[in-house]
Amino acid sequence: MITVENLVFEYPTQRALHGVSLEIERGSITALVGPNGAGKTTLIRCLVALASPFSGRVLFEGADVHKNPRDVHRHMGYLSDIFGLYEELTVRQCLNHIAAVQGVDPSKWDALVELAAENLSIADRLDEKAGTLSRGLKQRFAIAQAIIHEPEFLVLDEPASGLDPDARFQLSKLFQRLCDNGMTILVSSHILAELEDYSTHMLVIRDGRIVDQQAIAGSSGGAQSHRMMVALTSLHDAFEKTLVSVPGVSGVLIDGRVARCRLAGDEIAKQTLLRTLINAGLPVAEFHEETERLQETYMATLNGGSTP
Amino acid sequence: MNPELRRNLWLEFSNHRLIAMPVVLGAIFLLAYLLKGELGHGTGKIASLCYIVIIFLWGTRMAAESVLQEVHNRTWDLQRMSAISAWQMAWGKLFGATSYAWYGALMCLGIYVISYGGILPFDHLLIAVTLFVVSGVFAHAVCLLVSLQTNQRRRTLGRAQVMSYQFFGLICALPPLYSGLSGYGDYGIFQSLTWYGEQFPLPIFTLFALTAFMLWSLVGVFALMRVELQQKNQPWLWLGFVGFTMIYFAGVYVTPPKYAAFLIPFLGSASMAYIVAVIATYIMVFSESKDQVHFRRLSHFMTTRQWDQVFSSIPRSILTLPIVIATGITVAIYSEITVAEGLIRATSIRVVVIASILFVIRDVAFVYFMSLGQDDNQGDGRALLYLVLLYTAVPALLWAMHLKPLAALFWPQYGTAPLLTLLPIIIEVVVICYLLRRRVQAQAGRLTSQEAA
Repeated sequence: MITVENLVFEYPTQRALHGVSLEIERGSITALVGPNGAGKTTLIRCLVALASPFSGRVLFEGADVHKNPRDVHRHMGYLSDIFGLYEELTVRQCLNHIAAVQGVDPSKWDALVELAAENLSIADRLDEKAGTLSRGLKQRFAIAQAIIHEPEFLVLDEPASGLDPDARFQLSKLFQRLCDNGMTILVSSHILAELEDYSTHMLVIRDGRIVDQQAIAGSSGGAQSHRMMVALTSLHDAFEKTLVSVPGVSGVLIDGRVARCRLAGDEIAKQTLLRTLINAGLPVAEFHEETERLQETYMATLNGGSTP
Repeated sequence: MNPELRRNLWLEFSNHRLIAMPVVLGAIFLLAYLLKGELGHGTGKIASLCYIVIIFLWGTRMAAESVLQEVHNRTWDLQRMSAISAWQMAWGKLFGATSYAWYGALMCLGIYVISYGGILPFDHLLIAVTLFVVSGVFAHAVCLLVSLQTNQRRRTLGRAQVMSYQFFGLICALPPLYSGLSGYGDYGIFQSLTWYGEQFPLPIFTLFALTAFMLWSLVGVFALMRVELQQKNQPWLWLGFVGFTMIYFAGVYVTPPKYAAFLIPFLGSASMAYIVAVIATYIMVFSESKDQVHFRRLSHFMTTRQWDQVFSSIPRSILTLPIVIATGITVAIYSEITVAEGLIRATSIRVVVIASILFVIRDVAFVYFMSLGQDDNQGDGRALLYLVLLYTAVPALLWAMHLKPLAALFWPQYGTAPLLTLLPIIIEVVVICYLLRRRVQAQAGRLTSQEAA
């Protein structure tokens, strides 16, 4: 859906993005992570055509976003990490305004306003002035503004900052729901524990370069890579050899009678792996998929290593 | 309805404000009526004064702040991410942000028309009211234009800054408004104005000229709004404006009667056009963005032969230089063939004109040299200060020290040998262009070494 080709962005005295190339799949939720100053916000602003790159292209469904930004914007939603609101207008007026400037058919405004407000649990605040909302409500309201026109591609920079745990949980559910409805989401956040609740892919950026882009195992978004754990009742010489022989298995790490590996494929692949192990006469005591910790993957990526 | 206009109307027209304006203005007009005891000059003048205060003092501030406030309040990115067109955004802001001022201004115009209805002929009244409206829109558009232009260099909001934008709006719109209205003199006796040798009634001419410049200011707002919304502009609009302004002011020039026997009118008009082109170059070189990235990108477009990108990215001041050179050379040629022998030394004029072209090139290069020095956005200010010193204090000092020949370094000299006039400035142009090139190369090199590291 989004293709970035050799994107270079420069500030007067330094280069912020060094030939970044990446692809974002339709229907995915990608967590954009990286240390402070890595170039996350710059990359995001280039993706949504709010900043012009020095060179390179960003394609949205094949269209260069920097050549026709206005045409592309109606299909995009964006929430900046530092945002403002029209504080003297009511929540309803603001949402109506965004629907209008995004070219939504006026006959749909009311329904979309209600839906966005419902999704963000601010339906009871529609007639309050935006300036009177608490910080958490403002954050939710800002997200509602970003999704009011039902964009195909939603980009959020630190969307959960200022939200209480319950609101974060609701937000996580909302993202999964939007994703199920076909929306593609890119989220930049420092709170990795929150990202792993809903992200299907991880994009790691450091010093203006993409260090890693991978599907996150165990995510609910249809990722096709799993982190598997197999434990035997006793040590066995053929353990590693058998594991490696199974198609789709990679990154095997064996620690005594416990092995961890990455398995590409769907549920059938898991079944095949288990059957192969048993047919090889291995005394399998435990076999399950481990939920991958985004934090571990991120740290391993930054440190140049990898997790199975 | 334009969504941006509607948003502004929501913000500007609360119930309280809807009532407040007519109450306050009503009280003022009632007082004026009671003092004079009739609707006439007294109430008419008060109405026009109120109009000027509301539109030119208050409305200009609203126009200047319309985008800056959004940038300051961090809502501008939300607008920039919308699908609204640049034109809708431009006129929605221009008339939306100032809508409350227009609300009051229209009441003032109503009282003005009622007051002068029985005094001025209908056509005069119509021209006067149109002049008021057009000059108001023009002033607002100029304020928004200047604020957008500055916003693209430095995204800040300050009271002094806004006042400076208002100042531009006022000096653009108030003099023609005054000139047009003063053409009525004793009601009905038009003053006239000569344009390209033809006589025109002053109010009508002012109205047409003001309307033309107002339309250009709207075009300018539209073009700058496109840039804000990440759309690229080709430079035709700017070149068109420069051409129009040159033609307009060339027509205003009238040959003084005592020189009429010696000078053909074309020389005066061409000189006027040349001066306009020079002024346009200076205005643009100080107002447009000069960040280093823009230059590096331009260089990248040139090396990759993306000529349409080169054309749209090239600084407008540099693009205006060929017009300056062409017009200047035309003036130089005509000064030789039209000036009568003995009255003015034609060769001197020609040399002075050519020297002045070189001074413009030097100054443009100098401003860029200073602006690309430090990344603090203060390069323009430093360049302006040095140029003012170079054109005023230093030559004055040389005069005082009886070193007049050295003044050729700082001013185009009239009446001296051509070589003495031209050689110093040619050397200056070569030196400053060389330094500018080195600075650009050094910055590109610094980035490359960072990249390698």
